[in-house]
Amino acid sequence: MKLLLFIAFKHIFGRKRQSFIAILSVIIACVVMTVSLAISSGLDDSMINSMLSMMPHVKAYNGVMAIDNYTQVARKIAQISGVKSATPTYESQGILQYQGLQGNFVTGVMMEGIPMSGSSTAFNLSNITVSGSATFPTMGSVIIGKQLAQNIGAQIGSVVKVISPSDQSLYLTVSGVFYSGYFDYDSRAIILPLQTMQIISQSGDVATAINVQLINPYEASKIASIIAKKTGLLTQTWGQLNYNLLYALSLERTVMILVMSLILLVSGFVVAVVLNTIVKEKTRDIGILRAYGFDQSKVLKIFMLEGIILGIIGLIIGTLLSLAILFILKHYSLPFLTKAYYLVKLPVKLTFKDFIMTTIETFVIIIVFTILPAYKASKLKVVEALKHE
Amino acid sequence: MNNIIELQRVCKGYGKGKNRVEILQSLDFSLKQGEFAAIIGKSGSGKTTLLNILGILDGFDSGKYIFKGREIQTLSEKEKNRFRNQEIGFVFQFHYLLKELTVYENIVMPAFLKEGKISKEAREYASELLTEIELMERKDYKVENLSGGEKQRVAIARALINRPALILADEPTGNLDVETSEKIHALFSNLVRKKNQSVLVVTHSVELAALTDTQYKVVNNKLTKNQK
Ligand SMILES: Nc1ncnc2c1ncn2[C@@H]1O[C@H](COP(=O)(O)OP(=O)(O)OP(=O)(O)O)[C@@H](O)[C@H]1O
Ligand SMILES: [Mg+2]
Repeated sequence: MKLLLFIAFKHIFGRKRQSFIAILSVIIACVVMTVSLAISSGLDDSMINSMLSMMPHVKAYNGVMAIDNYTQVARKIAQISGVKSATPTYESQGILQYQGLQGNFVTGVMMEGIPMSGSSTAFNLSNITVSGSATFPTMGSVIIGKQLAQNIGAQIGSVVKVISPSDQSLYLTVSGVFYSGYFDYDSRAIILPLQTMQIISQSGDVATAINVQLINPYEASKIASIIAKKTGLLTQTWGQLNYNLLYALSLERTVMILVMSLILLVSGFVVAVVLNTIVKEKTRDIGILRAYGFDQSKVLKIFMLEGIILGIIGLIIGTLLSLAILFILKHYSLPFLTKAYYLVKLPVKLTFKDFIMTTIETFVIIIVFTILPAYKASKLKVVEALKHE
Repeated sequence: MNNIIELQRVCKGYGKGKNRVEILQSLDFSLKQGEFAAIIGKSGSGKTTLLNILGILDGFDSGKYIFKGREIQTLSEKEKNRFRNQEIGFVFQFHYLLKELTVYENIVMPAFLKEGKISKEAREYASELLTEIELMERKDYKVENLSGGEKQRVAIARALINRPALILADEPTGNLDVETSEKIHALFSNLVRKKNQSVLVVTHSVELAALTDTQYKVVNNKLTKNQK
């Protein structure tokens, strides 16, 4: 074994440039794969987290009907273990109009009515309110998203006009601004007191749904079925509510992994080509070793080892480089990158699973591409190999 | 009379169908322990082909090859490898040294392949051989830096390290100038006489052939013994 390793290293160092190119191609494939997987995980994660910070984890509703005994139902749900809070809401589309210094703005919004008490837990408002108050000081208050506030130029204290589908309108004062990090909410949602909402919707004392926040959002489907059983209401988990988005994310990831694997394949080819060159160049040496009794399996092992050594060096450097790049991305904000996204810093998340997957995949591909040249070398006829110039 | 190797009615040709050429036909040959023999013959007559068969580097179409009482055709790949490693030493027309290794490493390479390490015995024998080929002080040179004649001397020492029963040399001085060739010839005959190994050398050199016990000639796909 020591001898095989020795010869393998001799070959690799005897062909510095080719070996360097082979290693480089493995490094590139490894870095591209690791870094993009980490960024994509990070982006997905930050999107899901901001979604989860604000969106109900489970929504309980009564089909197309409204819920009239909503206070009792909410209380009942709140007692289920694993439930952090249950808030009756009245949800409706609406139009928001603002006559500001910069002109007149009209925009479609998603109106969410929540009780004046307990509003801070409903949409996690106490955590995501960035200016003003997380609770309504008066019945004529509204809390809006940061992006929306920026779009229309409104601030705390600005008075906006809200128009409901039943063509009722009210003037409300902006009492708080929230930032969830989830663009859709930050640019479209407005939150107002439930009673105010009931008034402009002319709905009477009802709610459209109970929004349930959980201690662990990933228990949503389990708890949703308990809620359904206890209240007789229909339920939807955040996963179901965002099925399209989550599906798109996972599809995007799968496609990305496939595309990245192509890069790995290319690096596998490079390794195979380099090994082929070495085999050609060392054909006569192989002949000599074989003439002196070296067996075929050892020749195979030598070239397998060479491929594996190139692969491992590439993998180690590639992994270190990826970690360095991810560290920089994580700790320094890169303006040109973050401007394109709705983010301050590029979120990165390297999961152990991704890391292991990249490593194993690289390794498997290198081995697959090493077998052919190595096998070719081992099958060389001694006489022919000796004749080789 | 102890024959170390024996060929019986060996046939060997290349190609198939219309392209078929017979090189060796029903060829008989034997070599005794300690015998020093030369093969001469025209270019393309099949000398290298014969040597490759004897060296178990190449197969043949029919006939028998008996090496120390064993029929070579019946051996497994592993046993053939063992025979090549321990019973045969090769010297080629070109030195065919491994250029990444030093003089010493090249010489002990077959011993290393044999045992997976370099035994004390092999080390001592390597020193002895290095002295005999007069390259003791070049022991740690990279072989690239040696002259042609020096390289060929190293190749000879490599062929001897495992004390093989048979040494096969294919035009070992075919590529060297007259003076260097003479030195190598002397080395060959000295070594052979001293160590009592069997040597078969293919050569165009009259001088080298003159030093041998027996001379063969390849004519018409057969070997004929040259009477001295
Ligand atoms: N692999 C092969 N395929 C086909 N023909 C071959 C092959 N090897 C050798 N030959 C032919 O066999 C014949 C004998 O070749 P060989 O190398 O044994 O000659 P030689 O006596 O050693 O010649 P030289 O003195 O030039 O080295 C030649 O005509 C050669 O062309
Ligand atoms: Mg020849």
